Amino acid sequence: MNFEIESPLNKEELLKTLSNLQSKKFRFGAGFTDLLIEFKKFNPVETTVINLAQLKDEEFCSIRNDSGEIQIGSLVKLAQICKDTYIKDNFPVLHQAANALASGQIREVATVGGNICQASPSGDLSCALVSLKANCEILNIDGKIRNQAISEFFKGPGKTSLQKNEILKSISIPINHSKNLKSGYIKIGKRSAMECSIVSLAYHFQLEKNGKVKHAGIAIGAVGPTIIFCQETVDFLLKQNINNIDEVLKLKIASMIQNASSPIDDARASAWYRHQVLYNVAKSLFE
Amino acid sequence: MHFGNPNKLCVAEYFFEPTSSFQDKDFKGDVSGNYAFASQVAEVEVDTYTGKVNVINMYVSQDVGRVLNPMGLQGQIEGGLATGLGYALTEEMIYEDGYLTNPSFHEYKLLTAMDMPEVHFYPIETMDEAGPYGSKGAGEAPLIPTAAAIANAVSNALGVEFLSVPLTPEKVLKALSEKNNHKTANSQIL
Repeated sequence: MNFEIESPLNKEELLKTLSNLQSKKFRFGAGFTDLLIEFKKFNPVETTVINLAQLKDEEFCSIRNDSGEIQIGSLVKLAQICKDTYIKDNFPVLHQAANALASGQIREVATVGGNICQASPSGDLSCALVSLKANCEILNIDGKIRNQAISEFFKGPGKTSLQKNEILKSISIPINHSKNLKSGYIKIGKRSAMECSIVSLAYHFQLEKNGKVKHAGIAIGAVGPTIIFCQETVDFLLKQNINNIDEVLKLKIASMIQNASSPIDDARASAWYRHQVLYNVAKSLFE
Repeated sequence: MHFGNPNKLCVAEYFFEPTSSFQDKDFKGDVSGNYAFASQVAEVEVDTYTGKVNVINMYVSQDVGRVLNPMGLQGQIEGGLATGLGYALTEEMIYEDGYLTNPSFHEYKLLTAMDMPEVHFYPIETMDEAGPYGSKGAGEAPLIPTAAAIANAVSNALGVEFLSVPLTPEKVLKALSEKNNHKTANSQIL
């Protein structure tokens, strides 16, 4: 394993480093929990690593709560999300997803941006963010910012819409309009920690006082080439009252979520199992 | 125990392994100086939606010979049990066309501390003449009955027999859905 390393200390240095390296091969590293494993497997050739671990920048490194949205910098560590009480109270889905990811040791170094830009269909945090309809704020070398919905940010397994002259700066999530929430993250795997999900389901419903669904988001992970936002199910749910969902309706919603998926066989589980479990888990949402 | 050079303590130890006969063609014979006897009871929860087996309590009782270090013994029992638990639930080498598809610990699932059940240990202390100070092996025996105990507990919960380990969620869910299909098929015939 042999590579050059650049460690920008602030935003200006980062943009300068990035524009200097435009004609070369480079990779970003922040927590290095995925990158070093990848380098071990595929020896990097003439690659420069831009080390973001020493970057000190308010926008990149903090969780801010202002102007009607909550902004999470891409260098925020997952442990910070786990500890954030505002997120725990208002976005249980995000809190639970961050807690389900890998192990306590890895959460102390792994970053939000790393988890998103890895673009894994089974990414835990990404799944929760898709259900929350988060927005990606992408910075390019000229200092300009491009906004993109996170579900459009993912283009395939390991592929994002990020260009060579861009870097993910932060994620913004619209704040809740209602205090009455039904929100959570379900992860199916073989063991309780250090697990890559076989099926994951993130849901975030904001309800009116009488139980009518005001805003909704459902995302499913590890059952398709990217994380899937269940638009059809969400549209259907918006007309419903959560207290009136009976046995028939419950099964209908479960098959709608199931139909949005396109699972494949791999070493972790078969397509049959993924399909079946997704249906069962979706059913359990309203039990 | 005796002193060699001035102020140097030497300890001399010996252990005589009793004669034993090797296994014959019928796999019979006295192969060891002493034997450890172990029994376990497993209490499990099975999620019928996902097929995941959750082991809640393990009750372990074992003939451990003479106990020299109680905490060390507890460690051996829990460690052996954790190994048995992986054997029962997740650890599996999957081959496809002669190639191992899970050659690293990323895909070969070893269980973690998060998966450990509550371990209730009841040692039976005996005096084994053949072992040093009357002790006998304690670390290997607790992993042998674990998988059988868990598989039997799952069978008891679901009414389905399993003929192979590990009891992965997929295997359990498949067995459950086959059982349900069988039931509905039967009821249709009736």
